Amino acid sequence: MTRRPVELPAVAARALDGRPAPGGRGVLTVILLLTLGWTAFQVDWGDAVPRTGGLGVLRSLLGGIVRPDLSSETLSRAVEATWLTIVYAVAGLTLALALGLPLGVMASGAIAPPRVRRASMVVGRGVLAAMRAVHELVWAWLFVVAVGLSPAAAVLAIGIPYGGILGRIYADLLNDLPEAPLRALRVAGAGRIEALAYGRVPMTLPDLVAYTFYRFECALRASAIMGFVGLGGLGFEIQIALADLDYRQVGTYLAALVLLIAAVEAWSALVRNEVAR
Amino acid sequence: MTEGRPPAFEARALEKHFGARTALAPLDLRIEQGESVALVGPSGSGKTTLLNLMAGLLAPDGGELRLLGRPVQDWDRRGRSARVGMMHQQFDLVPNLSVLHNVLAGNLGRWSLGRALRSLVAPVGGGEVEEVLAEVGLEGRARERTSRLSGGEQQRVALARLLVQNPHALLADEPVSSLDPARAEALVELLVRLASAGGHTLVASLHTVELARHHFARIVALRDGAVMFDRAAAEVTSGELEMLYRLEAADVASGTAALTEGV
Repeated sequence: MTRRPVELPAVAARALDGRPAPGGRGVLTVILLLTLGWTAFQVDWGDAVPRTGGLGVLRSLLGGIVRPDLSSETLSRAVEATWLTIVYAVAGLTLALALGLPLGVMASGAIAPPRVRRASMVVGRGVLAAMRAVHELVWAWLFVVAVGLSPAAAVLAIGIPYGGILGRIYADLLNDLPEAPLRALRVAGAGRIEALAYGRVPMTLPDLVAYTFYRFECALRASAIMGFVGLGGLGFEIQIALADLDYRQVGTYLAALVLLIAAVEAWSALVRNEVAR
Repeated sequence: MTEGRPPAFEARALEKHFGARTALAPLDLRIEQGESVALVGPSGSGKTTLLNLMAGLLAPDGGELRLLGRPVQDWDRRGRSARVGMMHQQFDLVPNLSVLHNVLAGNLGRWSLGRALRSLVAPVGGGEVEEVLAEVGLEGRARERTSRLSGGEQQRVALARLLVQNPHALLADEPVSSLDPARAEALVELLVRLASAGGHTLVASLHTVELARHHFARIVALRDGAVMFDRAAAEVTSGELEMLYRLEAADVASGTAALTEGV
């Protein structure tokens, strides 16, 4: 199988240069392992359960999870809280898509003219990095301070960092592609945007969809967390139930969260199958 | 040769280097409109480089290469795609797209951006695609996902895309080297027949010399980036072909390098 002539030894040489020498890699591995070991000593473990009676609380919590509160009152509150959690997550992810898709395409440099390609990548990646550098919970605090306890705060708090994460992954996926089909499209007369629509996006669609679904799952968890800063939803109910020491209610809300994630996973598997067919 | 009709391709002292390696030494070549030319030669002789230069995928390092009277690099993308198109050894289709959309991509050089994007959702020109697919023996397969097709079928999809693009000159880089002998012969036969029926200039690199001799009018043999011989296929002798592919002492010495390079 030696018939394809190598026409780009310069590229191959560069690829080889970029690879660290085998000896260098070994040294790097040892340094990384040592660093990992050292960090374990930097954590002040103290006592594993510092509060007196903490073990008893843990036991009650586990009991609550095994025997959740199934009274109609709690169940209807769980349904309502679940719905609110879904709404925040969907709205947040929609905003994340609206921000992440265009910024991701920009950061990939796929449609930028050669002269401004570097600039497009640097600016795009910079903006995306800034968006995701701040955690959603911190964004939530900031927006609660700015706009008060409104749904807008939750949606923005999810949409901005998730847009940054989605855009970053989209940019990598759209860039890291086999060159040959794109070259063939170019010869067929495709410009950069046509090559994006007829080449890059279809070639990566299964990965784009799978990753977006995974992020939706994360958005649901983040949305539940929003409750802890007072924005309602499952996290809010869990917080109140914990304050009331009603561990069976806590169990109910946790179960709702698990069911919600499982449902999304099932839906995602269905869609991924459809795309991969 | 007709007066005032520019040749399909004209190379003058054409050079291409990759780093320290010379892929094409000063090379002169003239291919008239409507000719069918087979490029033969050992691995690394510069066949693929020459075809990539002809398609505008690479820019020359020296000399010039004209496509229908004008340097290849001077045509804009739409103008060039109307004059030259290419199919490759590995088909180079988009596996996740339907056969229909891969073939429709041949229109991207003449469609406006809006039309191209609309056609992804509501395909434009499906009727023409059906006709072309029938010509290459794939009738009724338009809705299938391209990755589901066999290698031989995918190469026919690539040919169909090239026919929809309908450029003046058709280039084919080792179009059959990943097919079995029977399918290879059938595809070369189809390619030559369709090119001649459409009045296209055809330039194909082949590693099977027999296919070149039986189906093409003219054979251009490359070795070490230069033309070794160039004549009517019927006049090429077996002795010449043996010379073309014979390993020299130096080649044998560097055989290991050549083999690893060719993977």
